[in-house]
Amino acid sequence: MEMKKAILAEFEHEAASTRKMLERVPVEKITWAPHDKSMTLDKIARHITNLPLWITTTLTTDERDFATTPSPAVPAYNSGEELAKHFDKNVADAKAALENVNEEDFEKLYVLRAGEKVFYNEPKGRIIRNFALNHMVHHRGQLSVYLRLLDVPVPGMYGPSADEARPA
Amino acid sequence: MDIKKAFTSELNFEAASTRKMLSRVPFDNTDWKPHTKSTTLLGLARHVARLPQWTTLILYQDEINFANNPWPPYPEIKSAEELTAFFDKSVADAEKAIENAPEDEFMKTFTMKMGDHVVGAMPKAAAIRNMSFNHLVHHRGQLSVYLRLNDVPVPGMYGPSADEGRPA
Repeated sequence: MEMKKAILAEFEHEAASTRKMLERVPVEKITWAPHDKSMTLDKIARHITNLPLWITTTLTTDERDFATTPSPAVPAYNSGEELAKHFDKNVADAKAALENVNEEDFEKLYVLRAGEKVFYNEPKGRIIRNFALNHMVHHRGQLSVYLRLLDVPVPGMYGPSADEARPA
Repeated sequence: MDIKKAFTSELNFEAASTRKMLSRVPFDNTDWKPHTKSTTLLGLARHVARLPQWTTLILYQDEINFANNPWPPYPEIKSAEELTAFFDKSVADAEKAIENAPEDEFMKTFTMKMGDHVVGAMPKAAAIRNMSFNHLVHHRGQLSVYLRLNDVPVPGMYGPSADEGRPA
């Protein structure tokens, strides 16, 4: 399968599920965290909102230095829907970046470093899978537990959640 | 990129981090759950440990019918060692299935059914990514919150966790 087509299809699918989760973030609880060591609801929600940007930066640059390029801030939001709109914008940018590349671009090496220390030097396709797609799914899974603990109905991701009917 | 190589390398990468998470499951508290609607710690942990079996099933069969109880019962799992051993076997079988599959197997359609109702149909490559890999990352993310709430140090997945030092 063409890598570009495969990643686009998967990204669209996962982004749609992620949006459902973000829409439900209760803004009146954003300072809540399930544990002292956990991220607050606000922090994890913003982090997920930004993760599609990994696709955009990976395809439009050849390296990322964590020492000099911090993640861009997520604009303020007053509702789950507003948060989801910020996410939509990042998804649209990522999709445009994917549409613009050639199949060979996924084979080009991408470097992740903090100053001198190199963490990864891997093909862009692999970086995107790992740090954009899987990374987003990972934190979205955590967010689903946050929502559950806040008594917010959880949307199913790979099958029905405990709030949804099993198919008859 | 060779699709088999891409799947194997990602499986190995994610399996190594998943193994770390599973090895920390506290077996003195496996009936615990964070919320009445949540699955128990053991229920979630063994579900994660089984998810690589989706890869095997998708490559050896052309459909799954949820109405027919497609999964064998879980073995009895009484320790983190037994849990990781169950997981290692799931991963080894999945690796072998990928290795044995002809390249064009990944483009064949995989169908998910509930009785006569078709729930979804997609190329096997997409089905593996969705129902095996991403599904695993999703529930592993949830498991990381379960560990946190049990005061178990959480291993970092795509970067350091709050128990691990940020890179200098």
